[in-house]
Amino acid sequence: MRKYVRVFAFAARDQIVYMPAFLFRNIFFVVILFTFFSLWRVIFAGRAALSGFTMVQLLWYLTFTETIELSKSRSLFGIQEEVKDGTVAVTLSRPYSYVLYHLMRALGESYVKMIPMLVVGFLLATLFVGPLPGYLAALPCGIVVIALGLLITNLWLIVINLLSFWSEETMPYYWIVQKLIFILGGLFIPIDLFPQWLSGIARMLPFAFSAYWPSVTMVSFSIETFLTALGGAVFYALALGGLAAFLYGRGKRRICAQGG
Amino acid sequence: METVLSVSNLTKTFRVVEKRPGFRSALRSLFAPSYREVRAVDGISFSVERGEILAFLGPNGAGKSTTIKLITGILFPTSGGIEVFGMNPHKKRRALAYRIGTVFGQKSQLWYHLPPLDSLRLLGDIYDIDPREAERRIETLAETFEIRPYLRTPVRKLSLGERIRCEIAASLLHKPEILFLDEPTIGLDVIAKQIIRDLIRRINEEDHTTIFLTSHDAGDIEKLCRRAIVINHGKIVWDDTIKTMKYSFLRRKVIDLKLESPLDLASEGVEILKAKGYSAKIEVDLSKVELDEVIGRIMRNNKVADITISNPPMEEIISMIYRGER
Amino acid sequence: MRRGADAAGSLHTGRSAARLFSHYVRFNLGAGMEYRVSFITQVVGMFLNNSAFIVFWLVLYSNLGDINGYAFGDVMFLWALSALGFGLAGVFLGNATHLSRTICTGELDVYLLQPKPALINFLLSRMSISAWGDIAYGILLYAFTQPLDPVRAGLFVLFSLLMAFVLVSLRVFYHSTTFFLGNAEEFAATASDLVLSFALYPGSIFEGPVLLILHSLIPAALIAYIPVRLVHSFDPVTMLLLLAGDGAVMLAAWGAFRLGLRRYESGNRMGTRL
Repeated sequence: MRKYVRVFAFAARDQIVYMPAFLFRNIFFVVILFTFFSLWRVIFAGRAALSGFTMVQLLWYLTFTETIELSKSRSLFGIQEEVKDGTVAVTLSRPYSYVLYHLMRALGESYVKMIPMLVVGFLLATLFVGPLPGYLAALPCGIVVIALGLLITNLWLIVINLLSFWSEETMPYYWIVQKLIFILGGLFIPIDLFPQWLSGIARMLPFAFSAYWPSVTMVSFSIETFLTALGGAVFYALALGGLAAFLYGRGKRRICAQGG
Repeated sequence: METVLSVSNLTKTFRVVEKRPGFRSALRSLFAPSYREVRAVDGISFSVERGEILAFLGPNGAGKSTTIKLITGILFPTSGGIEVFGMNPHKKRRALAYRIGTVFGQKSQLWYHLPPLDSLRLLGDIYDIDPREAERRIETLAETFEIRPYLRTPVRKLSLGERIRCEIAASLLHKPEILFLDEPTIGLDVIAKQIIRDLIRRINEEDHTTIFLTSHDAGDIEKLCRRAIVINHGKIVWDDTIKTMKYSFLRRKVIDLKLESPLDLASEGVEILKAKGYSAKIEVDLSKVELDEVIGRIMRNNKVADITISNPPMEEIISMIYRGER
Repeated sequence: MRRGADAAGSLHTGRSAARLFSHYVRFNLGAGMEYRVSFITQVVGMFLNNSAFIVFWLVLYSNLGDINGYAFGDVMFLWALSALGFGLAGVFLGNATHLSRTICTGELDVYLLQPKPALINFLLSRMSISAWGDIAYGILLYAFTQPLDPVRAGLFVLFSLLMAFVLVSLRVFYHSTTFFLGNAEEFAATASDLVLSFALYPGSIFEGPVLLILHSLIPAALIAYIPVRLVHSFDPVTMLLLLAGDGAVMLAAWGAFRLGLRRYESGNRMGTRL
């Protein structure tokens, strides 16, 4: 177990050192958030709330969904590179779990990215719309669900990259999952604003746990919300983790059968 | 004899900015730079006649690549003059491009995922060659370079030797009058090297193409080139024929002996490189002793079963030149 | 067969330029088709990728009437325009995004040593396959969401072309900083596509100093918002100003590249010497 923790720490340290990427990521974050703010300010003119969301809640909601999206690991795309050029064969005989190794690396990267982004998001949102009522109260539970949301997103990336054992192009799968998270998962709009027939389903899909649930836990906290978010997140994390392990096992067999 | 290239008192100085990692310090350096001057090429002069095969040698960092880039117009000089076909290469780079060809190791003109044939056809357009004429030339090149079997295979699937042949063929499509080659045989096996050398010699003989070759490979220099220019620390330290280099520069001979008893030889100017059992290898310094005297002494004091007299390897000659020895 | 600069006529130059362009396009398409399945997946994938946002706007607009004068149709116009513009830029001048990399690896030399203008030669030599998906999407989205009107369609194509040129110019401009500062790839990638983050939203939501920026440094207004205004009510003065603005951006890019190239040719580069 210790070796995985070390991988995590290593990836984390790596992130801290690399300044330019940090800058660009956060600049992009500011721009996106500003655009959202400009949009929703106009939409909310003359209304107090939309489907139970005030403008304040909505903008803060978006800071959390974007934080998760922008903190996801980029290094995971290395998996498909490894598979494509065959260097993955080297790792087959190593004494650790391939999936777990990459997951820990991804999380080290993600959690370090996430922290300054939460701070930046806090400052920006406060600047644009003012403070979020109940922020501090929601934070402890919210952070857990956000962390799980990042876990799930990274697991998706691992699963998609593992598909490169079978498919030459994995980018299209990535785009599809990303868009499902963006739209169905409530990254751009809280699921509460969806038409009735859609919102029920969308809430239960795994995509919602990468965006909607962590963010709604923060902006309109309640124990029920938290428990639903937690439960679903754990469930999907295990499911995706299992899928990843399964795919790797199959993929490994494929490589061994074909001789690399 | 027509001079195709002449360089006079060419100097190139770089201001190398002290680089510290990171985008921000790069930004800072832009406004308050701290730099040092490096004189990569220091007042060199030489000229090349049409049809020569010239080796351009020097250790890494000597100024070789810089000189080539100056001659081909990629860089402009700090001072001094260059004329290629009477033109200033930097000012007339595009006009010159029609008349020179280049094969630079790491930078390929061939698209990696496509067959060489496609790249050749594209190059035909780039060099404004009439499409039908281009097809004819591709056919001829395929024949000469024996690359017809690979013309339709993606470049990434070719071996290094096959790829280099295609690269050189591509560089000749527009019938350049000078061909610049940078380390063309590096990484190749002995047979492949010989094939490339033969091809280059053939181009030179048949089309009178001037060849300007940089190489670290002694075999290239010895077997292909007729003249060598050696550059070190930005200055030319040697400019003469290979023949002269081999015979007059180095006054040493290496003698391999197979004897019927251990070697008995004591002589000034003779260094025993290896003496084990009944075989020996010695090096004779001809500035200190005459060759026939040494051979005489060997024959008098030993029973010689076999004797071979040869010149020191080219590598050694070259490194001596680099070191500035005479 | 030609040798050296041809004084015989610009007709010849024009014809050879056209032939080179078409050759590059066929060549790049051929390179893309090498992997047929990959080609299709990329195009279809990008198409679906773009389509997702329609849902977003549908959901949004189901809750409201218009957004400061922008109707649903207007937002769809923005998307169609941006998709087509972005797609054209990626298909025909797709190498712009690789400029930093090319400078750093010294591969730029290959283009300098060929008898064609380096920048154009460089830009033409790569095609983004997924950008075909953007083109398809842009055209189809336009066809499905915009009123049938040949003038409007004509303007749409024109504005898309202009957007493509501006996008490429922004990329060339920002990537040219690599000549001076070393590998600025990430910076340039972020900066040059930043304009799209704005161009995909109704211009009417922005005001004040931000709007000023959007008319200059991040020319989203230039490539997107003003075109929307012009298709609603065309006005030759605004059109001329738009063309002038686009021209200025392209000039700036070309200038930045030339300055950078001069620096490159001096050999005084940051970091590793040749």
